[in-house]
Amino acid sequence: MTTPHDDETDAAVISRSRCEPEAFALLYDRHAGAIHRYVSRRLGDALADDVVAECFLAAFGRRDHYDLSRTDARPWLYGIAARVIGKHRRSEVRLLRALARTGSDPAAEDHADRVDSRVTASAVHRQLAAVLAGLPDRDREVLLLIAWADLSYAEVAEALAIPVGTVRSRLSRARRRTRAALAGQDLTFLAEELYT
Amino acid sequence: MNDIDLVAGLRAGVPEPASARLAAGRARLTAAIGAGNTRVTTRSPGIRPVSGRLRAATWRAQPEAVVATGLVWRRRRLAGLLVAGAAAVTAAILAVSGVIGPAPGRSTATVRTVAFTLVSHANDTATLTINPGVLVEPGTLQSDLAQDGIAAKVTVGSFCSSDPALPDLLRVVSLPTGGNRSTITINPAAMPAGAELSFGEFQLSSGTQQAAIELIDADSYTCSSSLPTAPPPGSETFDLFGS
Repeated sequence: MTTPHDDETDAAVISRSRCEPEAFALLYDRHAGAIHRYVSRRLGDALADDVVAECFLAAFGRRDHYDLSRTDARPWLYGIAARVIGKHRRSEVRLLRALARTGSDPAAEDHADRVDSRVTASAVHRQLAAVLAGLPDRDREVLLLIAWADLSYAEVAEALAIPVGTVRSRLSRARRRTRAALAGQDLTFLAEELYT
Repeated sequence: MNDIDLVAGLRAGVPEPASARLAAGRARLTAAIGAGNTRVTTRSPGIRPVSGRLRAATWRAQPEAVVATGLVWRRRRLAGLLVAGAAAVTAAILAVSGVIGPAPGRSTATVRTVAFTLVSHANDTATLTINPGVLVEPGTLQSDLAQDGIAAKVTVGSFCSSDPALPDLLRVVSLPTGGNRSTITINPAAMPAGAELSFGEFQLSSGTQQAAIELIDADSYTCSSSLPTAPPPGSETFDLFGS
């Protein structure tokens, strides 16, 4: 089923919502699922509803400042989500450390019946969680926006309001730390262990 | 297969939420929009916004009693330590009685020291009132700002800045319109990701004090012990105390 507004760009929806506030819900329809999943991966399922709600309400409150030349609102929304997630960074690090220490992932437990029975993570999960927990917040932010939100370098730069060069340098640091933690291991083998 | 692919595989089994959950979120959003209430009411048990945390008012004796005026925050010169100390006590008393730093909306937490008063509001903003007579203790103010979700770099005797400075300072910091120019309101939600609020205070040889404020890139900044004599390129400055 299609609606008259399906072809509207995100920017057009935001522009329209300045006069018709309820139109903003269309932006939620388009992006809330992906952002909810991203938040769940970072903070766990229990926090996700509130964080996503706060993110979209904050976005609604700032829609007058949105740069309408940006047709895709995903970077903007992820940038707002990043700020909201930042308020819970202690929770995020605590979950990652729990995973690294025990092999049990509280962020995935709620989905255990849908994912598979391996709530107890592999050694690779644990190593990666330890690396992520140890990264500076800003480096982890960049790495996860790229790896989990599928944003490009330019989109991450837009989301975080930083130059692309800064995105590259933060990502480079994060990747260096990741590689150092996995040094000497066969990445293909690790990937098989991770994805199977 | 590279390291980013490996990270992408972590928690890859977490799915998008069920449609009923998304629908509930949508209803929540549209209800808030319809009611003109764009503040989140936390529903998860045990979860509260950082700024909503109730903190006991604190009172710390501050050995440094100084006098102030400044490039950005200008303070009137006082006669000496005794007068400054008396001013500090007076300011603190005024703060206790609510004369200084009127809060926009319902206050949720207050931290009060001799050097500053920080009031957290229910709308996630915070009001900072600087005592013109006492230098702040950087670690204390920085830590208290962080509790309110305000990433800040507070320094005394130095000032940190990015080149160019990040824009939007005046979207983050609201200046008071009344006569009390020592109070500012900070909205951390307006801060760009990766930004920090740089706040520096200087004790001048003339016996006066200067303070400056700027938005910096937390990943790229330099600190200097010299006094900023002119607004850094791209920054926005203001005068709180008048000349």
